[in-house]
Amino acid sequence: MNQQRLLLTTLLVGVLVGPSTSFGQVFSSFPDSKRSQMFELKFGSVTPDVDNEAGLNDKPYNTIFGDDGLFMMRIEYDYQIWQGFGSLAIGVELGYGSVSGSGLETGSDDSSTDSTEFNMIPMSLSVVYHFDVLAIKWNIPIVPFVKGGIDYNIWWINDGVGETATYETIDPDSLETSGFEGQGDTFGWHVAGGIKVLLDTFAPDMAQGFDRDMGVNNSYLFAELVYAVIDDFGSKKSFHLGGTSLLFGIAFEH
Amino acid sequence: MRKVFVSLTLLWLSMQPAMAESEGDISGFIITSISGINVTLSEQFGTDLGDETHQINLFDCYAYLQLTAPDVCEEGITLGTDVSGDTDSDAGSTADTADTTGTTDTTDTTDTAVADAGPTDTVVDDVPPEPSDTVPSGDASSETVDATNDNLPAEKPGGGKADESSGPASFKVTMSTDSFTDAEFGVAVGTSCGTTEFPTSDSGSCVPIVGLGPRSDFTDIEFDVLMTDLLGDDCLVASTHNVYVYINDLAAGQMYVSQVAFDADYTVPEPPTISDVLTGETNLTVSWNDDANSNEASITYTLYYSEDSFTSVELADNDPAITSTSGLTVTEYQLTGLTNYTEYHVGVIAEDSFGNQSEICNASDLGVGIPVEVDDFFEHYKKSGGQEEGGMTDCFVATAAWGSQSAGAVLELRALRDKWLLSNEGGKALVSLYYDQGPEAALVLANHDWMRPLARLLLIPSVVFSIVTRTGMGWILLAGLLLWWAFRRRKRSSIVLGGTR
Repeated sequence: MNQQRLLLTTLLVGVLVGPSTSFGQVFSSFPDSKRSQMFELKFGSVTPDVDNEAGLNDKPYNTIFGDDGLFMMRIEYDYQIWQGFGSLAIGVELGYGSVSGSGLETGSDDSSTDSTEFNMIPMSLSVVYHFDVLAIKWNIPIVPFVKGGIDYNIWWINDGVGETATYETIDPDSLETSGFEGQGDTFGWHVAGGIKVLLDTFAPDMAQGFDRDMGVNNSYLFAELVYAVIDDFGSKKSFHLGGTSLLFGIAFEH
Repeated sequence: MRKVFVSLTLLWLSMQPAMAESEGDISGFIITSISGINVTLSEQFGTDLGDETHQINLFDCYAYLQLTAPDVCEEGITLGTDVSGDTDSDAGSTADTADTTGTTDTTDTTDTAVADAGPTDTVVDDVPPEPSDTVPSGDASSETVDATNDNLPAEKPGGGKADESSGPASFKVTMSTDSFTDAEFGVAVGTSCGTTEFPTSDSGSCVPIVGLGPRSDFTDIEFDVLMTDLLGDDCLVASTHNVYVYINDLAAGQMYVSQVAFDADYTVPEPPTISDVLTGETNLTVSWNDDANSNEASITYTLYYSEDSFTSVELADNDPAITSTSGLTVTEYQLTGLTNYTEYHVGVIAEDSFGNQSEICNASDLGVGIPVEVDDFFEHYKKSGGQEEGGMTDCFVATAAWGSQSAGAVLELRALRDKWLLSNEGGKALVSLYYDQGPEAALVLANHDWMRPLARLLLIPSVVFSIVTRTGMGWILLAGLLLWWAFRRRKRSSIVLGGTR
């Protein structure tokens, strides 16, 4: 968390101090360049909300993984469908995250040397709004944005030998065995917001070259705060994989 | 600068006579096969057509010299001396790696012994070979070694020297070269034979085994080589021995020589030490230290485990209760598929690229571990009262999303599966995973009609991808994108050049 704060602080300081000498030079080209797409690459730690599920008599996620979240890498592609007072885009997102912890010796609270992994592939479809008016009208290199959409997460849990975890129970009355596999998928929704910092401000010549050669109009560093509820829309038989997470990344607007 | 030039010139001049005397390799020289006459040759002896490396390890040496291999545990691990020093690093071939599975080969070779006196007439032969009758190969060439033969010579008690009582083990080389019209043929063996003249007598470092004599047929030439000529009479000093083949082209007045190198390494690797045995559910993770063999270039390990304690004696006996995993190049390995709450004994040996293997001398060299039941995250979650039951929404997903198995989009996704996923291993694994999850899959969509459009939306990129790639539209699309990019770039360049930007 301290690292996240440090990065955020660095971004803000950079925004306030860095661009003071080159605003005009950078933003003279901002409105002229046609933009329609955004590519994002972002990273962050995501702690699923498993432990807050109803009916649990322990905090299983915390017991196994401690305070570690899933280290998540995500890519996002936005296509802008409207530009006016800001821009509106449809975005699709794909990622991968994993966290590893120690299993518990059965019947005790002792940690085992056996590891267990929780893996997740999140996918989402979002509507994204970028408030780029500040940058276009007033040459302030900050672009706040908000988004919201639906999520589909594939997840799986590995046991100590790297195989998919299983669990069996026996009904004490009927003596029937029920088996469960530690893999599945869960739907949900999310809202998110954040701030993008226009990097072109810091190296305008390079930015113009990037635009001219590669067609990349603008480059950003950004921070994104995500609130997700991923529980099959309230199903009581589903993992709660949502939660609040902070992601950092880089974006290229084309 | 001048000194360097002068030095180089002198060096070149000093090399000139030697270079002038060397007449070069025999044209078209090839060994088509090598076979043991009264000894079983290991695979790494290089017996087949095309084999470029010929290697001999300590235990092969003892077998080839008809000597009983010494007990490594009793006599220490450094039984021989590696004269060449670099033979280990020279021998990292794939054949060596593949040979690591032969963990019990060394014990097998100790069983080999001579059946009878063998072809003593095949060594130094001063009589020129007849064109139609190549060097005598001896009738014993097809005999197999029989450890139960009553005529076996008395075994030497660990090491010793090969002598007449051991029997003259030998091997047959079959070779061919291009034709010569008027030439002499001869063979010598040694660490160093001259390449300009055929050696006329045994110099210690070079032994003539087929005297130089006239020959006209140079196809399928056979000659025998005594193991003692190749390896000496003990296995104490390892060095590279060569078989030299001479052809003196009388018509051209030139001597041609080709040599086949047989590399030896008699140094047995140090035994690794088990440092840790971590217990998991139906598994043990075994770690070992092998710093002592850090100077060896191509060490591999074989890990053994059994419910009973064992040493190399049991390994040599091929005890079926002992399971092994060979060819390991790491120093940590997880044994899986074990039974919980059962004690397992684990041991590890090191093997170099020549096949020299360390031993497990005592039960104290083994590690011990007992797998125990462990709750992974999913088990702990379920035991904590978690309601998630696992299972995935199926293609079930697509079928549910479009409401029919014959919907166009579903057919496209099937084409995508067949063309892109089932054509590679990764894709097959993904499909397999998908079908494993299948039965419960469409459940969510089936129960939530309002989710179907959303599922379709998520699947549309895959459907489009399938159409584009299947119909060849991808190339058209790519060409269009390139044209658009080129047009845009040209237009932009013209604006810049025009000064409007």
